[in-house]
Amino acid sequence: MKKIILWEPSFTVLNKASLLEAITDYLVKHGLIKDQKEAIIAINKREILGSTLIAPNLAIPHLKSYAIREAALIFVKLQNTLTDWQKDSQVERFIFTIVPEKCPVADLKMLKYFYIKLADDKKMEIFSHGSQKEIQKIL
Amino acid sequence: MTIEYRQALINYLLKHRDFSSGSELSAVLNVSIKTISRTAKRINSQSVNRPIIESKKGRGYRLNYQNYLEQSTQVKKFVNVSHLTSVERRAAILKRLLVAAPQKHQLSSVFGKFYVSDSVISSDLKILRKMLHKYNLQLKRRNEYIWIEGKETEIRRAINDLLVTDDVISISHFLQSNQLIQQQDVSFVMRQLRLIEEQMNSEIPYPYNVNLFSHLYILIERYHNVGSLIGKKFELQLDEKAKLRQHSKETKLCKEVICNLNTYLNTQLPKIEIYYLYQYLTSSRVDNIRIDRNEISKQVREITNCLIKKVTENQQYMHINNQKLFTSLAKHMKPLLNRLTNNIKVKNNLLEQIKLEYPRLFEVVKNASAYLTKKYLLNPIDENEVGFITVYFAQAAENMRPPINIMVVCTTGFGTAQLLRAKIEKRFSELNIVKLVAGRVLNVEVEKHPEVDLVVSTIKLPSNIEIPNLVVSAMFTMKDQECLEQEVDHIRREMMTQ
Repeated sequence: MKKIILWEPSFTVLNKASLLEAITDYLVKHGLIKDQKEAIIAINKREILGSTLIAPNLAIPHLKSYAIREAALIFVKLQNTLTDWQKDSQVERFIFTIVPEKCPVADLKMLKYFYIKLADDKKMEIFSHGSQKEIQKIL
Repeated sequence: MTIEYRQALINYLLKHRDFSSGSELSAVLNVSIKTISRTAKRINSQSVNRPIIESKKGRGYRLNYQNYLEQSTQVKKFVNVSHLTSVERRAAILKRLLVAAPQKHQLSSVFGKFYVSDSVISSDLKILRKMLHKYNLQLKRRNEYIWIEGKETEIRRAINDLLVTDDVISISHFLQSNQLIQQQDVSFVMRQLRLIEEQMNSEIPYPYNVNLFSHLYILIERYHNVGSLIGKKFELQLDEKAKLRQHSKETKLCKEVICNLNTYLNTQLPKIEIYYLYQYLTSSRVDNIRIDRNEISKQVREITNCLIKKVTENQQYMHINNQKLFTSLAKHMKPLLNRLTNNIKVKNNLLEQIKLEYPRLFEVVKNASAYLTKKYLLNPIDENEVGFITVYFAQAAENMRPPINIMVVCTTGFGTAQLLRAKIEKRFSELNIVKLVAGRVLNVEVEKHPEVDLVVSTIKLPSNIEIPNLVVSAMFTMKDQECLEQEVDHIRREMMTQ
């Protein structure tokens, strides 16, 4: 399973739509997603069902879909905050999780441990406010 | 807003180290959340730069113990007797008369500083007489003198009941005005308590340690004040001697403590003091002993069994009878029966909270206790004691509670569901998470797991879900936690009534 950190990437992100476009485009180019359009639809569908915000500035959009080729965790820290990710919130950090419909058990186990880690308040604090180095260390 | 609210809020926070949410406090004190906030502000206005009650958004309120202590001692320092209420005035007079009984006091020296009229003095004396009558004590007045007469045991019982709170700090404040002597007395008594604990090879838990402390402290103060007036005629009766002989270990220890007191007070205390201390000691719970069922006396076993039988006759509590409850309760009942025989009262600081949390169980235990007193011809078991017993049953009931099974749902069954699972496991140990499930297969999974009591989800659920469900945010905020707590309580109540 791949773990990627995109720390203040150079692509321009003005809103939620452009972020999803840019991230999925990046993942397609790296061979992790096979159908960009389908992936964006799946993420949006999930967001409509309920918020994925887990801290005031941190969201964990995630999807399980046939559009995914390989499981991956992608941490993104933007240069600017997004005001349209969720009403009344300013989100600048994201942990995208992508999982293929048929995912190896080892990857699922890794994801499980990652989410358990994420439930720890100190780790959560690092993901919401920590430096690139600190995040690299716990990811 | 009354002073009672303020005190109730402080009392509650004193018993809870961590933050308590506004809604929790509002439910406990039966006032609005706004009133809680206003009360906290009002309390803090007494000490502007050092808040007594700290508040934190999203977490609630917490007592700053250091600031509280400083503030409360400051307030005490500046108490002006002329501003005392009539109840406080009478308590102050009672203290003076009881601690020094049977010493005579000039009426003017007792009432003079309060600047009250003759009619107020008469009505105060009338009320004090009534209060003391309960302890078979008499308030005497002759010429311009007043004093209290009665048995030494009754005088101490009255001091204990009327003047001693369960706050050790206030015990040490109320009697001895000389700070240095007061500190010496306190540290002497503390040393004796440690000696008792060492010799018994155990800790004496709260509130029994406070009871023993106040007994020894009052004894010292009485001998400091009126040692020569306390009759030395009290000799041990035959049955008392027999009891002491039966419990040689405790008797030896009591003798040692009284011997230390003799040295400390430079006097020879009457032998009856050994017996008084013995009564307190055997009326306290000692924590070290693992009681073997066969070691419990026939009387304690019979009464404990009868109490359990009576409480579990109630359908709601019929499932809580077990060996563990018997063992722990018997351990409590042994000194309780001694307390009843010896007329020793123990204050239960948590009584109001126990009544609030377990109203039904408290009533059931109260009725069962009343039945016991009739059947075994015991002295009445008061509400303080009923409160202690209730806690044993409540604990047994909680241990016997089956866990609540929940299913955690998100779109995929691994993302926010996994995160939520870790958070729920951390905060709600009583919940058993059966499975993490993807939203699209929820109906199928619910059918497969009929044992599930509640579905907790981070996504909106279809309306055709037939079992209780709760949607929370992935953040699992304090509000979400409160909602889950309420839902769990609701399910528990339903379980109890089924």
